[in-house]
Amino acid sequence: MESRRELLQFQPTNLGAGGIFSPDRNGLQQVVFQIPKLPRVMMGQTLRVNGKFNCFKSNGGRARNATNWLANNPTDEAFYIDGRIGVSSCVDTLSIQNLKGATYSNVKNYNRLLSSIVPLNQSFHSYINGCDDEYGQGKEITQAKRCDKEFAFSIPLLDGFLQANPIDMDLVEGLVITLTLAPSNFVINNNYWYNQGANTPDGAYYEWSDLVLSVETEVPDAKGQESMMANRNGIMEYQTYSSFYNVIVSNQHNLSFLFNTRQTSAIIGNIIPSEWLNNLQYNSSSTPQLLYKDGNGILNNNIRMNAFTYQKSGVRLPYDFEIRSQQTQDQGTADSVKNLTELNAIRDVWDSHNFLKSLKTELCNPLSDAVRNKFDRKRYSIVEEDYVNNYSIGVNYSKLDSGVDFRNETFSLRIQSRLPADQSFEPHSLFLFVKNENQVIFRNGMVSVLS
Amino acid sequence: MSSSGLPDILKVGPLKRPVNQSMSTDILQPTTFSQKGMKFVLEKKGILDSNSQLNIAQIVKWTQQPTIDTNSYLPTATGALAMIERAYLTIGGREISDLRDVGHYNTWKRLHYSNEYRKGVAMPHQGGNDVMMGSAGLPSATNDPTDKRARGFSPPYGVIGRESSEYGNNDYLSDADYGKQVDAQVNSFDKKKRLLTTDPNTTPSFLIALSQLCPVLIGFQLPLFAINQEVALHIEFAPDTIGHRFMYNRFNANNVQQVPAEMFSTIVEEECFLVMDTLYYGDLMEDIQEQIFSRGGYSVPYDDVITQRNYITYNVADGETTHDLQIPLSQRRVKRIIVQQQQDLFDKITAQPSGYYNSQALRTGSEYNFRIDSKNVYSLPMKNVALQRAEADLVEGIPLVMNSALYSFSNQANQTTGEMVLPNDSNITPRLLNSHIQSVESGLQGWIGLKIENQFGQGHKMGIQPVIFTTKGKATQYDDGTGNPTTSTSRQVRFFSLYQRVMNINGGLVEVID
Repeated sequence: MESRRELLQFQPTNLGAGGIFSPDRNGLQQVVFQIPKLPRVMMGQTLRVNGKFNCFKSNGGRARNATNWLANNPTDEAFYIDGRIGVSSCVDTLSIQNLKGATYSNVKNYNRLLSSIVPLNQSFHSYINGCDDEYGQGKEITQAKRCDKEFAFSIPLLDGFLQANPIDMDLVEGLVITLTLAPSNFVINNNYWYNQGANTPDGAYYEWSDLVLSVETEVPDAKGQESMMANRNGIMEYQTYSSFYNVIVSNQHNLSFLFNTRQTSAIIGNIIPSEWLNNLQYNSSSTPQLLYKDGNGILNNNIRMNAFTYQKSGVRLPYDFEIRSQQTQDQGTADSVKNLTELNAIRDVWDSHNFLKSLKTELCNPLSDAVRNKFDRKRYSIVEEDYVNNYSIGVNYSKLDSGVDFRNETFSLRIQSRLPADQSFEPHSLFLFVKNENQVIFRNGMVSVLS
Repeated sequence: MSSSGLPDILKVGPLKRPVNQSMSTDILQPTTFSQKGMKFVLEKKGILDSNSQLNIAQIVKWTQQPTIDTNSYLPTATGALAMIERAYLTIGGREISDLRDVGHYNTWKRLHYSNEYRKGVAMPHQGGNDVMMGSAGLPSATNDPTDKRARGFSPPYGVIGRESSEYGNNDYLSDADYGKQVDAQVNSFDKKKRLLTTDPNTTPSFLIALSQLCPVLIGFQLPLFAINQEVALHIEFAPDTIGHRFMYNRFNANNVQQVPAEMFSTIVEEECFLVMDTLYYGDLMEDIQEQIFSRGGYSVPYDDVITQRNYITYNVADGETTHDLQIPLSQRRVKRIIVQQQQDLFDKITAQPSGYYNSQALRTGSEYNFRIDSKNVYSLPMKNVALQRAEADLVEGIPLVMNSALYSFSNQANQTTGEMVLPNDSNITPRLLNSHIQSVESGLQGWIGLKIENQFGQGHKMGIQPVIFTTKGKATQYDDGTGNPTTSTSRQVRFFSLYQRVMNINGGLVEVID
């Protein structure tokens, strides 16, 4: 059987006037791509959403980041998008269905998920290269500062359904991929956190335009296509994420969820002060640990993280001990059990997608509460966000690739931290993502999804 | 008698089971040598290890001060392969593999090396200087906390460039600031041991793997012992001028400003030799010999590269212009096509450290499409530069290891006028590398790639119609990047088409059968 490669390109089906998508102004908030049912095999890992990104001040003018940014702290009308996940921070919800309406995957807070799972890069050196070999223009140093000009992007969709095995486009009955865009004040932030004295613009918005979805497919010969069309039965297995949200309101926090997922392989998550979400003054994609206010009233100082306890139906699992980290935080070292645990969880998740070849751990280090959340320049952190840590939370349930059954059993997490006596606890948002295996059964044209 | 599948010991890769193996290394001198090229005749013994290395060196002199070292270096994206223009392998006088524009093709290949490989293997063996990192802007005299932050990598700061003082180059051990950043050490240079001298005895030698010169040797080890014909490697050198074999530093060792057009290279004959490794497998080789001489031999599938050059010009006054270029590949089974659009303006070449080994993007971008067998490859022309990059990433199976500031002017130049005011508009640092401003490298490696092969690695057999490459773009007065407004800009367009061939080794004779 001979087959050939073909790159398919699709424009959004809900293309409006001017072809602009913008959640706040002059455009639509949802982007819908429809991929027809075709007798060919789709390589989901090559799927890209391509387009152009623009952002503007509230009066329609451009940011002034380029004004002598090489030398000075920007003080005038500057704003940025997250430097690590870049344009992907615009995607709030990702939904993948077939043309008949069956849902294969639905990830809420997709951008927050990416804040945890987008690797720092394939290796230490490719990261410091400013290199961007996996994500087109979706993730690189230059994006963080260059919002003063239009630029092109090409982002993959890091969903388990697409990242797993090649997809039989005929059997899955075509696809509808819907992206719901995040509000502008989630995506864009000004310089307030770094410099409260800066004269920053009071509003900004972004636009996507010239959108095209592209994906590589393998087209079999006529005989192969006939046999694909004749086949009505099959099973697909893939990993997917379910999203959960919680607000941490005290330094002794307990939460409980009913995931109802069968083969649960990992839980990963991240924290952000609730005040920072959808706030033009802060980067809503940042992932610090718990913070309290400094003398200027800015959330800058770290709350000491003491212990994490994971439970399933009241029983500690997978660790029958508390993961305590106060000693290592006191010492400012990186090898705490808590740190090891979260790294394992993240690494395993990343490994399952082959995203990561080595791990640069510094971003994940818990910081001592003796220092501010921003590194100073004497600490030779050599990653882009060297002022900001990436404090991910997670636990891995599938060392042996079997996962844990959470159907009708509750998941609980206790987070203990120590707040200085004279400080108040600001609400923090906790985003948890449950990675579990989905199974889709195709039988005579009917699709049923088991999770 | 029919041919048989290739045994594992003739493939590059791990063997399925342990076997007795021995290896010998010979130093082969060229049988002929001139400043135009050289020829090696391989001995009829053992199995040729495709990782055998060619040793090569050159000296560079400035005619005005011929005894003073010029601080010249190898083009940063290409390394030692810049010395070679063409390499071809003949067996019994017939060409088996012919790679033209060796330096340009290997620049594309090198853009896929990981940074670890570049720094740990490619740069020590072959020179070049292409590890870039999150870098910094120029230092200021005040060096206050704001300035220090400006050298960081957090938004909005940070640019991309070669490693300089970000890691704390203060090496004064007695200094309390040991290991910290110092604003005096901001520029980068090639390591002194890799600078080309004027003396054949001191100039550095470099190593090139045979598989870089002969694509046939990627994945295949030639059974020299069973070939009764002359096996020869022919090498033609690149022109001896700047930008081809070497790049220049503005100042020589006496700190005198040099004139690039007056600098010339000479290949050092004593340093040109082939370090030829041959492998021996005892009984297994007898089986191979018997297969070749008595049982129909082997049919060996391999890849070769066809190179084609065209020349196009964009006139500013013409606005957006379309160019159609034909690539005759009739009946070839083609796996991929790589397109280089080389800027060869002398002023531009001498202003940056990559020399002629570039593929210069247009300031305002361009779109392209291919037509194969009279059908468009892409239903929509490739306009989005990020998608163009994603397509190029798929060609070799591993993505380009390159930041996008090198790939295009997107997010750098004004996309209406093409203007780019340095240093602020470039995402590459204005710090110097070997006396050249690194910002000039913006958009310098905008290669286009088309993957044609299917998931099984099979190429597509072309019909009798040529492949047509269509590119549409416009020139702006800034496109030549020389600092002066121009009325046109030109590109030398090279197509590297990788296609499948089959050779048959039978009765000690080698014949290309497809």
